[in-house]
Amino acid sequence: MKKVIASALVVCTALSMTACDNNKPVANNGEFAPSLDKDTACDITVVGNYDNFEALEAEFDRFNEIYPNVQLSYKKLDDYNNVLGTVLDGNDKPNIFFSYTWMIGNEKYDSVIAHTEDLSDTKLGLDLNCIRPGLINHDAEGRTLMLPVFSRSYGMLVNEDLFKKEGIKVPATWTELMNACDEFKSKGYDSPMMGYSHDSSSCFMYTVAYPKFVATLSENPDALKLANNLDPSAGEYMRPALETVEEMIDHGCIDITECDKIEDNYTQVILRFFEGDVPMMICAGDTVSGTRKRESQSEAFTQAPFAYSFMPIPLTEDGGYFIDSPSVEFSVNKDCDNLDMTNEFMRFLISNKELSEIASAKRLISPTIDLSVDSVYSPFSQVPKDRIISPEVLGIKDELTVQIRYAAYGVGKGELTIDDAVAKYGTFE
Amino acid sequence: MKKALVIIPNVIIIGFVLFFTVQYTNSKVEENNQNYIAAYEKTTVTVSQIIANYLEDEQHLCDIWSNYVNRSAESGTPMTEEEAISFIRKAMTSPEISAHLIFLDDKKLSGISTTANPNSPDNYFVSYKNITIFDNLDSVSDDVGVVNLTRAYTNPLNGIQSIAFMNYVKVLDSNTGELKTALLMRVVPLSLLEEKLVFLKGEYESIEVSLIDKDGDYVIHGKSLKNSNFFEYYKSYNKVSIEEYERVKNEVIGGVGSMTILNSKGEECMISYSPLESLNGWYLISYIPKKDLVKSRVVDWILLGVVSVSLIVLLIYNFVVLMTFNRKLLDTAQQANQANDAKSYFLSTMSHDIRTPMNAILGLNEMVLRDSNDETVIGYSENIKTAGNTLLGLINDILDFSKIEAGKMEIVNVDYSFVSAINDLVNMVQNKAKDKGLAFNMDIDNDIPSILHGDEIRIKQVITNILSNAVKYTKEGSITFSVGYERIEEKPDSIILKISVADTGIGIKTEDMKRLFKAFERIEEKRNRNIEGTGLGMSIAQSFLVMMGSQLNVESVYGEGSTFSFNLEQKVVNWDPVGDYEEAFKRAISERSNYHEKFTAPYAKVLVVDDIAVNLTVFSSLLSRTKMQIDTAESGDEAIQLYKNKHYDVIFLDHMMPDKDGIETLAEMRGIKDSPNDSTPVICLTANAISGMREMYINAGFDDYITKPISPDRLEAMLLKYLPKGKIAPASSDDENYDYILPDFIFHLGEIDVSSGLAHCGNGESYLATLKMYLDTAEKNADDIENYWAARDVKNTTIKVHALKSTSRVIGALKLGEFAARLEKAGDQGDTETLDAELSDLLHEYRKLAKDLEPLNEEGDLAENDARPLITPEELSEAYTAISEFYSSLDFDSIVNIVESLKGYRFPEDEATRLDAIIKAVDNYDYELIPGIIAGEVG
Repeated sequence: MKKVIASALVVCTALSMTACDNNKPVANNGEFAPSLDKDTACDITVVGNYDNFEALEAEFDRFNEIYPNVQLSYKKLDDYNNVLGTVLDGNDKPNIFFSYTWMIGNEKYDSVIAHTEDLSDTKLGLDLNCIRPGLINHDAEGRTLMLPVFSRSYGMLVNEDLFKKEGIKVPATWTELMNACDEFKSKGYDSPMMGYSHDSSSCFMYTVAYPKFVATLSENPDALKLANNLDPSAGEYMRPALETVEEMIDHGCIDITECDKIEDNYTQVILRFFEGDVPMMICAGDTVSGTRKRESQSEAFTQAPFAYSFMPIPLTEDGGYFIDSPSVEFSVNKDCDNLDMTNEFMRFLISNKELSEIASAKRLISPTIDLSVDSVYSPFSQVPKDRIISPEVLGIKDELTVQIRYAAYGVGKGELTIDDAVAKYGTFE
Repeated sequence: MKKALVIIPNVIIIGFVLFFTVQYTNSKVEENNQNYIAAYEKTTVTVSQIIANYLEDEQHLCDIWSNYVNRSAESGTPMTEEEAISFIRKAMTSPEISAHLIFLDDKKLSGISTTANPNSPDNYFVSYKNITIFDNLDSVSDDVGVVNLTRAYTNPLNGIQSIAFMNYVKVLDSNTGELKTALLMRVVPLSLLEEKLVFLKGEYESIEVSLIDKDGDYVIHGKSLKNSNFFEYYKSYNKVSIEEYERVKNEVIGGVGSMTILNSKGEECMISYSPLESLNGWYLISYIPKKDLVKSRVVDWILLGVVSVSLIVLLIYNFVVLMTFNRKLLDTAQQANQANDAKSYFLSTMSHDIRTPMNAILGLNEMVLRDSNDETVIGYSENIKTAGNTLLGLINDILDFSKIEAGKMEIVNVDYSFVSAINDLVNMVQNKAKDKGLAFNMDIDNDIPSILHGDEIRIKQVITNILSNAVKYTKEGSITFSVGYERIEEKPDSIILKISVADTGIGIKTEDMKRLFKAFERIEEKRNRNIEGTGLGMSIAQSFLVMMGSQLNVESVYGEGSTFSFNLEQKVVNWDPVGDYEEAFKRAISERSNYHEKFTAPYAKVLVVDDIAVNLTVFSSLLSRTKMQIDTAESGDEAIQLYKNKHYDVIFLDHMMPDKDGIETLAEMRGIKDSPNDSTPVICLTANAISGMREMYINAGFDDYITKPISPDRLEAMLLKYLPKGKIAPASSDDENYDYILPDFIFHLGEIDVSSGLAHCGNGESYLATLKMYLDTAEKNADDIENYWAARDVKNTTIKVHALKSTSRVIGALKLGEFAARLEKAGDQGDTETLDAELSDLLHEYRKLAKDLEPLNEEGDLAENDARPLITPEELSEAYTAISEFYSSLDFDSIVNIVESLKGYRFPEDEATRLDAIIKAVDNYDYELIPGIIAGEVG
């Protein structure tokens, strides 16, 4: 027994010495190893525009298990985008703040960016390898000023039990999708696919068109440049995406009238899906984040729960696209108090385990390479690499998304013909 | 005492005390908790009042500003927005607080601030376009005491989380020159409000105070309360139904109170809530982990621990003390057990030792009774018999009582004849009653089944006790013995015997009734001192009845008499009714006479084995009138030698003997192959009159057993049972002489039926003489018949054959007689063919029989000789020396043994006299004479 203990002590000592060689300790099996005095007492504030961020607060609790005297809090800032700079310049400096890639290079946010710390600095010891490379933004100087906490994508919620019940295969290609819709319709489902269609924000037309438009642009760098510059000639590249939207509606996959009954693009979308009679509900990943909480709020789902998942819409004969965009990103205020502990928290958070946990808690897509934690998103882990497109890496600009959103919405609602929409590229506001 | 008897109650008591302590402590803790919670609620209310006061104060300051601005407008000198802000800027005392004047008709919800934009010192522009805090502007009022407050929001000018107090003001639009309404906001950093709560930390270290609006959205947010909305937070971490959720919501915004909820870590925590007065829709929520609110529980656990440890120490102490006492008690109990064992041993020994001389006394007394013709002697002897039997009864009572007390008394159920049992009882008591001049009445139900199954011995003992008592305690009048029965419906194979004994005796006082069944208690000892008894009889009777599932009932009127009765369930073996018992009994009484042997068996051979010589004498004497041939042996080994060599019809073997006891001896006997006694019944002689003995002896291989003192009737009854029927003859008349002994071999001759011969000859002597005569004449007769037939003299041949027929029949040679009769008949009929064919066979049989009888001549010779060896002078000297030595050590038993062994020798005439003197001294227990007798010789 003594030999065993002695051996264990030797191994521990050796490991400790090895750890001392690095800047930050790295524990075995991916567990977080604290590098600061565990009794350190300080405050860390995270600010953002989420009203409510319980998933992050759960991370605070877990971090407090290691550093019990660190007071972590999340604050929502009103008028976040406008106030952030002021807050960062003020006396009550937050340690971590929500940031977005579009802030980089935007003069208005130069002061914000000026406060951000380079998170790729190896001294910080952050495990950036656990994040899908397409989600990590590097500025012109190669710095990583923000790291994704969640990612965003587009797809559809699939009622798996309903497919099983009706004996219909969950579609993996465009043809299968059309066939599945036909079969559902033949079984009395008026609108096999649904989505929000009240206004263009998060409307299903955009959710269908955007991935295809981005895919089209990804194959043609010149077109991307034109599109980013809102060049009207780039409108033509929207045509395949708009035709897809139109065909989906014309084929009878979606009944717009039914969709118009969904009053908001979040809760009502989820609750309508939970009614149990909608085989496929087109929505963004952000909407899926609200499903877990609303399971108990839906009387229909409580009484007749069913298995569901979120998957890319099979827009082509090769399947769908995984449009992989960062959702919320964290930046560290390098001018804040307690920067060491702030970086320690980031080192804690940026790990496969914690990012998966926080994404699972919030039910958003985790930015980690491993997507296995939340089974609802598991179909996305099966998308081949060549069909994963990162708009940020591609260089898609926000203005471009506005164009396709309005165009798709107009076409979907029948307010614009495809030709009109193509012609109006660059003019939508 | 068993350990469990100490430990279990102690553990139960400890458990109870701990349970009580825990319950009591918990109730106290609960009480304390309620007090703590009440105090905590009170604190919450106090804090809410402080905050409300603070907010009212702030609102009041805002009111002052707005009043000033509005009074200016009302007085006709309205302020422009710049003037109003300028005024407020001057009126402000705290640099942290600012004022915003917002024009609500502006789409951008913009206006000016008293403080400049931190990034642009000259810029006082402020816009609330993207901040949704003006949802409830309709409720903004100028009424005094009404607080018009925004939710907590981010000050768009400096990014600081703030709250704002609001009033409408009228200001002059410098562009249009018209009055317009603007919203004056007194913007207070949230941190100032939070500072008001700092003082609470002293009282409750871990308290967190939050403010929520009526929707549950936090205004101020304690760190443990997650989410942006308290109710959402509650729902997230407390799994409750929608109804419960709604109830909690309504309760929190309904007034003052507190409740326990789970926090995000699943820990219990206490929240207390109170509405902020004067603020419509703001509520204070104070949060504290429950463990921090109810710290007194720690003290209670200490109490519990101390109590537990104390009780366990007490238990151990008690246990040690009790075990010490236990050990002492165990020692004492062992000593008591040893004493009890000694008592049992003593009783057992006493039983044996008293019964042995009693056997001699009663046995010899019986001989006196039989042989004496002197009425005085017979009277004395009768008294000896009575006293002896009484003494035996007392011994039996003590033995029974000791058995009952030791729990070793067993009920042994056997089939028994009811009439026989009643006979024994009546025989025993009737004479006693008659002697006292009491009438003995019987009332026996004629229909009682004849054969029952039960413990006959104990039942008889119980009734005997009752009857004896009745006789003892009744001076005049009568004793009525009644036996009835009734059937049991549920048990068709059983009946209930209903037995009662009523007397007209002295009766029992009511107060003495309870003493009746107590051992060794004698009621009215003084009055009854002349009545013999141990005081055990009723106790034993009651004990036996209880063991048999019954009990003795007593009804008594003091001075008038008593009735003892009991009911006893008995199985029925034979339902034939007993008939008129009383009639039969009376007849038997009338036929009863003095002792007369039941039978004689002069040719029966009996071996009696007992280590006590006098017992052998008694035994032999008791049977002397049966004329049986009785051999005796005083040890197992001696008996075994006899067993090997001589055939006996019955063997009586004493159980308790030195060296080899009866059981060992029997085992050895039965192990001998080809013994002449292979099928001889062996009956155990024992002084152990204890129930269950029969089974033990039967199991040991005995055929039966008989207890000492030996009852002559029982002994004869047993012999009748076991003796070969052919050797049993009717009882003799007094003048007959049966002491002639037939040679044993005659009984083994297949051709002769001895009993038939005896019947023809009248007695053994005559029979033997006839046999000898038959033998002596046989050869000549055979020759004569042979000669007559050789001469073809049919007539004389037939005469001779006739004589052969008659003589053969007389000696019991019945087959030969029949053979001769047949040839005689042939001779009479002139059937020479038959004679030719069979006469030679007849003569052959005749001669064979004669040859078989030849030992008769030898027998006569042997009887005349003493075959014992002559003792040598050395052996004689050695015997005398040994007797002297045994006398010195008072070992009389050994003296008896030596004397007995000397009987196996012939003595010179001069020594024979001395030996006779020694034998006589031994037989008379005059051991003290022995040294004198030997002294002459040795000296």
